[in-house]
Amino acid sequence: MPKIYSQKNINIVLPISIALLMLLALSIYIVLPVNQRYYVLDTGPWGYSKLSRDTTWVQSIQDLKTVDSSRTLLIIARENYLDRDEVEVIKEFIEKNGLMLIYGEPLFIVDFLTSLGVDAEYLGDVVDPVNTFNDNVVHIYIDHINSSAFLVSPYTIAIHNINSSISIEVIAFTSTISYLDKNGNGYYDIGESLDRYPVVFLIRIGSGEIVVFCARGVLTNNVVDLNRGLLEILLKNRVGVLDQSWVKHNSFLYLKLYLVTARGVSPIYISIAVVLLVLVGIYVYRFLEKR
Amino acid sequence: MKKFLVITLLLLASSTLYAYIYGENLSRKQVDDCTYLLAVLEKTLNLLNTNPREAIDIVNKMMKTNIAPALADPHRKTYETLIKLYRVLFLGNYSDTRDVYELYIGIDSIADYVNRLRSCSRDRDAVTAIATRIRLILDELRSEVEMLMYRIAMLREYISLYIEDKVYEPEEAIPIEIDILNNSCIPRTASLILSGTTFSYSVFTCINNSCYTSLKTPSTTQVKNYVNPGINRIAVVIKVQCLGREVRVYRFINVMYRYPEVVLEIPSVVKRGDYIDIAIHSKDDVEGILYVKNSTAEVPIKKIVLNTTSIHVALHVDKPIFRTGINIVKLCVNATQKTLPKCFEKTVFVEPRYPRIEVETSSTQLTLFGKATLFLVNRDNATLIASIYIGGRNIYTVYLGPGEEKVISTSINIMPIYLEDVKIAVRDIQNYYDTYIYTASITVANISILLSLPILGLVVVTVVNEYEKVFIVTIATNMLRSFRKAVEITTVIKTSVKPYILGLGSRIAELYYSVVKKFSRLPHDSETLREHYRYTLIPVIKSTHVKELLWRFLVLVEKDLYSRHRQDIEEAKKIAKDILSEEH
Repeated sequence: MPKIYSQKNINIVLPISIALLMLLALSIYIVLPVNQRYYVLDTGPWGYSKLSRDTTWVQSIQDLKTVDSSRTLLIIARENYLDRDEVEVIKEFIEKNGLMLIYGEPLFIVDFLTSLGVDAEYLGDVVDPVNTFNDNVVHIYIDHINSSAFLVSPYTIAIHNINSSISIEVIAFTSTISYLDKNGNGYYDIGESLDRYPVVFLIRIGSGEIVVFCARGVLTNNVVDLNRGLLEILLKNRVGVLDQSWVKHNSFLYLKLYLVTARGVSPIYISIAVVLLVLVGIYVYRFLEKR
Repeated sequence: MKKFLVITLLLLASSTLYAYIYGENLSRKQVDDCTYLLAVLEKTLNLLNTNPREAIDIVNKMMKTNIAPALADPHRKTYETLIKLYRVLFLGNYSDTRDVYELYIGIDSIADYVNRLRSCSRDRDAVTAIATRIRLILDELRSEVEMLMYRIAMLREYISLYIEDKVYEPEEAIPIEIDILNNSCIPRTASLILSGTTFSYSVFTCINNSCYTSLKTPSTTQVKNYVNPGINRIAVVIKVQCLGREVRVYRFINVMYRYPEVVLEIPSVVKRGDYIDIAIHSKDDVEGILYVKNSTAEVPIKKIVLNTTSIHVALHVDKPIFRTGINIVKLCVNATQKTLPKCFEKTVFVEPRYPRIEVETSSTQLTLFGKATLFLVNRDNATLIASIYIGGRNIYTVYLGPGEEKVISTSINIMPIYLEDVKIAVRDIQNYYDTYIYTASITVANISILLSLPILGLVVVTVVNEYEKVFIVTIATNMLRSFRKAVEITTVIKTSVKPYILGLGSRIAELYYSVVKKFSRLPHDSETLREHYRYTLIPVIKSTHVKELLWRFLVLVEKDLYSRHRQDIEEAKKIAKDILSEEH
């Protein structure tokens, strides 16, 4: 029996197959839609795919040091906290006539305010039935900038003490017949006070301002079209910059962000890249084998 | 014209598309939280006194709110009334007393809305406090509206109206006297109006400047759908013709409507088959119908006329009127001229009465063929029907005459030991008793099977013992054969696909194979290249030179495959080229 199937040849087939599969898996991962809040490649309701068409993004807060604060609107929305170093960079950015719009999970907002020297406390989710649209979108009016705003799942916070170097004021409330849903059952219960609740704050630091929205969604895909007017007012003479620095904690999201252009990635490009990589691998192997 | 049409169509299409894209995502959420609506109403009513502007803001918001369809109409009426209240009471914006009177009626619609919200609230008890507070506010508003109507009448100074301020009974006369203050005024009519319906009407008779008439409070029968027990406020509307136009003057009188006082006495516990004595009397002359309400139906029993004399009704506690457990004896009396209709209820607990039957069985039974046995004895004077259920299925139904005994056996079961769930439902033919249910779980041992199994086992072992070796060998041989066959098939498959999966491992070998393929078949997995050369290639190749070239090629392949050093592919290509050119 001719021993024509050598061990050496089996070895090359196996790693090439594994590499091919891994590349295929990676390419599928890159092409497939991702469900991640406040992520520029998320086309779902909580993503930023719509907003990313009109703005740029930074993958590190440190990049803010290089931008012109007076011509930039920084948009930050997160589920997790900012590092203290990042807060310092943001403060520096605001002080130089910067403008920032911030919203996200209640604990993130409270933590951010605390790091600025504002003693804030999360009171609960606000329900405003008469101004609520589908998907828990609540309509408010901001007199200060003369614009409507649509907030997804708003909540309210109490401000107790403020650092003397900054000033803070409430610039928008819910209607006078809204209530704090203390037990989170989505219904009004006896004892839940009917009142107006602050949901938008304006913080002044140096010559810059921070607009704090107590809501989980403001410029996310589900409401960004409704908030175009608000965005245009805030973007006046400024360029919108989205914070995507939190993505660095997730290697796959980070890689995806690197690989994808603003126009999106084509599966054909990935397929071509995979084929080229495999061919190069085979030829390199053959070349080494010959030597 | 065509251009205009096209532009219009384009505009229409684009606006539809815009509405589709943006509109579908923006629809107001429907509000159906009754507790919330009740709380908002209370807040609005409170703000009407303290901060009317904020109250009107809320009213405007609530008018635009998308309310659940079931509540939408009363909701709208309520907030429309609140706007009227604001205009009339706070802005003094009304044309005449009729506007104010309509407002008075509107307050009743708010009370109705409150009742509806309370009934649809998730926690009715918790919202009772809010509903009560709202009712108190509404009572105050009613008084304010009444006072306003008085003030309007007084200000105009057309007439002086005298109606005795007391609590009237149903069907009581209400004398009305008017002194004309303005000579141009002529009193025309007096009406008694409740909830927009006129119940009494009369014309004034005048002597000089004094006019008289009399109305009669409506009987309870007339207003049973409009009034509540207790004091009810009913409007007296006087129409006066002054200076060529009709002027209306409103007054409110108190009329007491009440329920009859009925006493219903029944024992709280009775037994099936007994007679229940129901004693009823009333301070008022009323008539009504006696019902018995059980868990499934409400059965009218008889018509009853009541007065102060106590009457007794004896009812047989029989099926289907009474069911075992809680039953309700209900007396619903009709409205009379003096009293409102009402139902009076008392509960009675009916204890069951079962047929006298004895069921005997043991929980463990040792049987010959696996048939469980039950023993039934009818101790009653009536014929009884026993339905036997095994494992939930009705297997037998047997009749037992008075004093009769029966032995029931279940069917044969081949299991050596098993558990039989037995249920027996016993009832009487007359359906007089409640159904008696007997349940038992019987462990049944089947001696025949228990004994047969080891015997059968022994027989089989004895019979098979001699053929044991043959049996094992047969099985082993067949298995080995099957295994070999399977290995062969997989080897064939492996061999055929191997070159495609793994390649030949040598480019020189691949070239050799491609050349050999021109002459004959490729080497099998079970032969060497030399065997293939000798027995397959030599017979088909005529040229000696080609044979030599092929031999050189074969040696080159072997060296490339098995030697530590790789051979020169160019040499192989040259040999291949020579062979092919020679062949052609």
